[in-house]
Amino acid sequence: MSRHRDASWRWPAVEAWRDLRGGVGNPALWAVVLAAILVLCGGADAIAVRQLADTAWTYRESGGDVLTVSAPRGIRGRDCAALTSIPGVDGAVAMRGADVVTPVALPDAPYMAYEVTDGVRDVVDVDGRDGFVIAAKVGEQLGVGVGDDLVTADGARHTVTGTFDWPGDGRLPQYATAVFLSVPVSEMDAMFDSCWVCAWPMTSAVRDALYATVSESASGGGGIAGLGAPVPTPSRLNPLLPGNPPDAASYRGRITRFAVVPALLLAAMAGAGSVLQRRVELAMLRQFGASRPQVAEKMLAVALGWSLPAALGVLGVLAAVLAPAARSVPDALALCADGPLRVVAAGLAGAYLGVVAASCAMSPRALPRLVRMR
Amino acid sequence: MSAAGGAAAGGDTGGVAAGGVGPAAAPCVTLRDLGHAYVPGDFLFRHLDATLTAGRIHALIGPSGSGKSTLLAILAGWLTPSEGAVERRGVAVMNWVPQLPLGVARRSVLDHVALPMLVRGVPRAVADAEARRILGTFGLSDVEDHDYGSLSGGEAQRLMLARAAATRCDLLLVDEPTASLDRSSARTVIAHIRGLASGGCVVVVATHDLELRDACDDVVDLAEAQDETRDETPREGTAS
Repeated sequence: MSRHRDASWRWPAVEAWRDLRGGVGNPALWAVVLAAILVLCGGADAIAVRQLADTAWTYRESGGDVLTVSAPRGIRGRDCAALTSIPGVDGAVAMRGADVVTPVALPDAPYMAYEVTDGVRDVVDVDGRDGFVIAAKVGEQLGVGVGDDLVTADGARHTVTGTFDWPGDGRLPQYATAVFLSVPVSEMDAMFDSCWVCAWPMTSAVRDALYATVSESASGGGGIAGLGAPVPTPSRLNPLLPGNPPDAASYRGRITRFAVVPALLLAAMAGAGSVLQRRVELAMLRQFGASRPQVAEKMLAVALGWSLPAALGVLGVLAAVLAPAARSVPDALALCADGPLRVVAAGLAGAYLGVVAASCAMSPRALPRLVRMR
Repeated sequence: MSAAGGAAAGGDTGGVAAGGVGPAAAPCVTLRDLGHAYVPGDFLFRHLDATLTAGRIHALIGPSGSGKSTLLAILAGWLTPSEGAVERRGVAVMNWVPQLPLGVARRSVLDHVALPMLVRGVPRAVADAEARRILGTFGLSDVEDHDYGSLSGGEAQRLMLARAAATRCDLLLVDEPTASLDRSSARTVIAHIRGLASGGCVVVVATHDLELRDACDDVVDLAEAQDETRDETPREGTAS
């Protein structure tokens, strides 16, 4: 029989395929082992990320993304509105007290009213549009909604353009039954009592810019200790919220970020284990003339067969855990890339390293000892 | 002093055949004043001299613990003897058949015999055809598509020998091939070993089986080498 060296490069991969097809070496078992490792490590990180994201979202939903600064007639409307040009700012509105709104239906229960610049719907999450915006509680009490007319005691008729919810979760209570009246554009240069800005994350740049909307005369009134008005400082719309919300630093600093390390190490052990369970067979293969690279190639091909399905399955599971934490598709992809994908990639790398290292250790010299052990 | 031999003879790659044509010289293994001790001074055997030639079956006998498996490992090149030397001529490919048949339960009988040829680079179709021919020689044609795990003890042992035939080895080391077989299966195995020897390789069989010993051409008795250790008188090992 003549020798055919050109066929020699194919046999490891073909033999690997035949092994997988026949279930040699328990590929299903190792797939489960790897999946368990990846779920353990990746799951811990995914849960941590999910908790951070949920906490951050709850914080925002409770008004944590709104900062206010107050200075009676000390804030120029245009300066406040200009805050929307800062990256990350969703909305900004200047506000000042107005005459109360007394509905003809409840003449003894007037509602606090505030004149606002355009954009209150971006700050207070209005259902509808700017114009004549009422608190949801006001609507419930008067039986009016968006599009309905509200007649006041002075005979004026106002069409409700929007409503807003004001949960009793700690945010400033005086706005629970408020009415926001949009002022015309011509009023933008007028002075207002407060500036509200909605931004996420709330950076120091936004905070500083908010403070800068206070006119010099209003900001310097408390220069002498114990005399004059206090210096206006930005404050949270919901003062009951903790001072430090979950942010990028919390995300980057999470301890589970290092889950890639145990994933890699444990998967390496699994990969090595998948080879060592076949050490007698592989030592015999070496005796037949297979080189170390050829043995490693074969076992690597086998490992690809059981590891890739496990990895794909785990990615799907972890993505499902993270999905509710994402608010958009790009968000979801970013979360998956930074979390589960890193862990799965580390796990696969570890498994393959373990397979290669164990395969290269196979030697026919060990056969007598291995046979005695059986 | 150390075991010398041809390229890849009993070395790390064991059964790699060199080139498309067998070695010019008939395989031959010579033991010169061979001795081995795992614990310094406590020799399993000593002053062992023997010439193992192609076409003959050399029985390696001795009581348990006398060093038969150790001597096989030395002949394979996996163990360096404490004393003496092993000279190999014309031995490019070595194959060791252990006492326990070693197969992969979920692979077919045909795959087992084809594998050594695939490793040498033989195309699958050619390897399968040759494997079928070899299996026919060993009376395993009827089970060529069966999984190894379904074979009887005798069939498995014959398969190991068939696989050894597929390696086209120059030196065949067989460890207790009939230890767990009934007499009928043992006789069949003995006949196949004879066939392998007649193919031109050096065959060394470690055995307690008297019938197998009697079927061999030469006997290397490690008990005599052990005796030599006790009285320190050098004597050539029985090889005739």
